[in-house]
Amino acid sequence: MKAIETRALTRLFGSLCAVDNLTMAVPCGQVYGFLGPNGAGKTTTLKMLAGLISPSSGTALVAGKEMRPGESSRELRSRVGFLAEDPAFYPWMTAYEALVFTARLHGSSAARAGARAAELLDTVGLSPRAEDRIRGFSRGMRQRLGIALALAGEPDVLLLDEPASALDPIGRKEILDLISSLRGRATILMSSHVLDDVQRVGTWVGILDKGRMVVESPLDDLLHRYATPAFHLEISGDRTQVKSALLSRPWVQGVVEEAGGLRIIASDLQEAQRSIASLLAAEHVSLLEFATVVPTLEDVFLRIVSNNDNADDVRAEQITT
Amino acid sequence: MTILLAKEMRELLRTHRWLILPVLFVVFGISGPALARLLPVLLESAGAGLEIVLPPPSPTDGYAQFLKSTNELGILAVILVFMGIIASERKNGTLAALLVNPVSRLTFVWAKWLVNGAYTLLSFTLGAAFAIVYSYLLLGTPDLAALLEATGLYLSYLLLAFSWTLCLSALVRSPAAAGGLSLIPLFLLPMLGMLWRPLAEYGPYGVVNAATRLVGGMGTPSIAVESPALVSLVLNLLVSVLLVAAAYVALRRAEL
Repeated sequence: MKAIETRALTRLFGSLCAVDNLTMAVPCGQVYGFLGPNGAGKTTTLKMLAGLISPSSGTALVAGKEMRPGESSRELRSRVGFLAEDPAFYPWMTAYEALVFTARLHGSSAARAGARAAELLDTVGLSPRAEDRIRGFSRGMRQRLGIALALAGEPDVLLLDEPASALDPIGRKEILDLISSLRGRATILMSSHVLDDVQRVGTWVGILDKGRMVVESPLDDLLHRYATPAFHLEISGDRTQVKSALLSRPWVQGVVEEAGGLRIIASDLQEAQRSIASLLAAEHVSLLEFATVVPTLEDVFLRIVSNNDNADDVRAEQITT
Repeated sequence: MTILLAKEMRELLRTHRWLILPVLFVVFGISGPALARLLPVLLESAGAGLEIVLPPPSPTDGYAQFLKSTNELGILAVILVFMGIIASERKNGTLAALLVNPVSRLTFVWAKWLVNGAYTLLSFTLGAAFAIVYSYLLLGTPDLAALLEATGLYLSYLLLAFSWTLCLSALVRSPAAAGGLSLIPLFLLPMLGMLWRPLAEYGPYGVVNAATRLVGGMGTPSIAVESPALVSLVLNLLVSVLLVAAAYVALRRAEL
């Protein structure tokens, strides 16, 4: 049985189709990176899986049972933990009280809830702030507390919506380390538009674009399948101009600005090696460094989403003609 | 249920909201009899040659003044305090954070109603107790039975106003809109009662009219409670419970 499954899940907001016939399956025990650009439908999908909003059609299944808003999914919700992108808390509670309260809502006795709260505060590194009111917590502390609250009911499935995207580098590292440490304790579905985060902690990946699942695969398989020759290029001139020139070449699939230079995703390795020097000469810039790089999830993502855009354009053209 | 009841009580205490209504009603309870006692003196000193003859204040006039202040400002305060009771939780995300847990939405609404309803009624009762004591001290021995009956009648109207606000707070996403809509019956009920007499007797505002008659206006002798007021009281209690049910229905399939 899959930990999470959706079948032709669709959600409309008026005329806008936020999630479009989404079928996905998250195997038990995996950290599933749910990727997609902003507005791809990730949060809407997670909210349907958490039972906060209803699908327009299709089903959202958790542990084989349908999740719906309202009373009918109460028992099922005890098996799911959810962290919203911007988690909300009762600001007048202390971190310890919030955890005890949540654990008790999940049916723990007062003694068990207290022990669980202390354990979780320790796990997320908030023990020294246990008795402080949440209203004084920083964004990173709130995020860590949010994860602790999602874990308070000892869930089988953890839904995390952009758990690290709004944090500074230190906060991000702390959260990702925490998610890594949870691997094997629960199935984790983690949405993100920060691809490095998913590459760091994920084992499976699903890429969503315009509400549709574009690809779903184990992360290693995906990187292998979509491996494309890529180069790191450092130059001493106007990057923007060179980027435009590169994008106009047929052997270039994508160009990403990165620290120190440009990353070029090439479709033809040999042609790239032959042509790069002449292209730079034509643009009157000097070459400082040119090196082959191992493709990252970001390269794969850009390629998939860009292909999806092209496919949409073709579909649109077919409809028009 | 007990976990949510405890949370509501702790929230009342921690947010210092517990102070607002008791303090307000106690102020009305003290100022009502004081104003009734001082009004003839004030008018006499401000008369500037005009001769204004007022009958001496009766012992129930202080309570009548307390009821008038409550009906004008107290209910407004109840609406302002509770207009966001559910809408604010929905708006700031704490409702979604709560309901992803195995929590019944019915239990959530009941817990809100029980704790905050009891707080509202106890606050008013405290104010009424002050009004009775100060009436005794400043105006003489009042008809205690009449004042207690008036208190009982008015409590049902206060519960109805609170329940109505809670229901609108569940129906409407914005606390301000819930507050604005909650105010409408305050103006509408007395006006409609003037147009159609049975509504003034048996409708929600019947208890207020009866309570006012019980304690008498300024200098008006009080009269015994009538059966239409009892009908109005029972209806207020029933409608309050129905409003809680309506709040639950609104939340049952709410998308968060």
